[in-house]
Amino acid sequence: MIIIHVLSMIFIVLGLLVLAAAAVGVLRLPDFYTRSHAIGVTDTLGTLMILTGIAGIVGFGTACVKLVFLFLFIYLANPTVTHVLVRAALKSGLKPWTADAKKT
Amino acid sequence: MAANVLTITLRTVVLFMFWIFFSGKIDATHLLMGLVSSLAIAIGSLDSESEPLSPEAAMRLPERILRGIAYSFWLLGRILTAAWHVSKIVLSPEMPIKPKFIKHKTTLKGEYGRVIFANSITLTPGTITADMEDGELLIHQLDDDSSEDIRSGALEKEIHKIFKDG
Repeated sequence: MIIIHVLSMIFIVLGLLVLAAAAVGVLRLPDFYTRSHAIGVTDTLGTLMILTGIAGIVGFGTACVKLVFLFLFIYLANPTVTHVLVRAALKSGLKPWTADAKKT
Repeated sequence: MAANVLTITLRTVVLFMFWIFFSGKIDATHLLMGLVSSLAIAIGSLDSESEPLSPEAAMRLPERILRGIAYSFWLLGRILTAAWHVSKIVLSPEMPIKPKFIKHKTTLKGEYGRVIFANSITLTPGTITADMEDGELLIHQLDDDSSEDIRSGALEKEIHKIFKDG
């Protein structure tokens, strides 16, 4: 049992590192559109690792099934919201940043 | 009428399974309460506009669900690779990004297929579906490698596999 707990902890810490990397990405990337990509890393790799870690700690049971549903919900809702935001930005005329326009 | 009974039965079964998983209690009181509410919701959520489920379509469902699950695992693999790729880009000091909008014409005809396609693109880090009109998608990419699967048609091929029976 202790091995599963250690593995879960490793997963959660790795997940947190991924979230930190994504946060760095949001700060460093130049415009709204590219920042949306960094958010994508958060809600895919980050949540997957953290939820896997939690699932290891709570063990097999109804709580585990609930985590799977939470995971599925995040995977359905997040792209929808990202798409709507990007579409709204595009329709309102926000110009996308391009590599050759200006150098950072 | 027969089609309605089929729809109600299927919805009740699905809702009841949700109830069991979420409540976690398997005694007569809880099961009965769950069954009654599942049935009530299944009947109440029937609307006259959506076309009723035909027995043929119902027969195809289990196979499609299995193929959908297989597709999810394939997509998960692609997502992990893409997430790793994007993380490397944003953490590297020179940040080699080449963001631009690309257009892609999809070969998917069905509504579900197209929704799955657009959703999968946005779910994969590095690419976002910004718009879709008559099967032509406007996709924003972080760099050229991010949209490799879309441009080569690999992603569409996997979705075609789910709906290959029409």
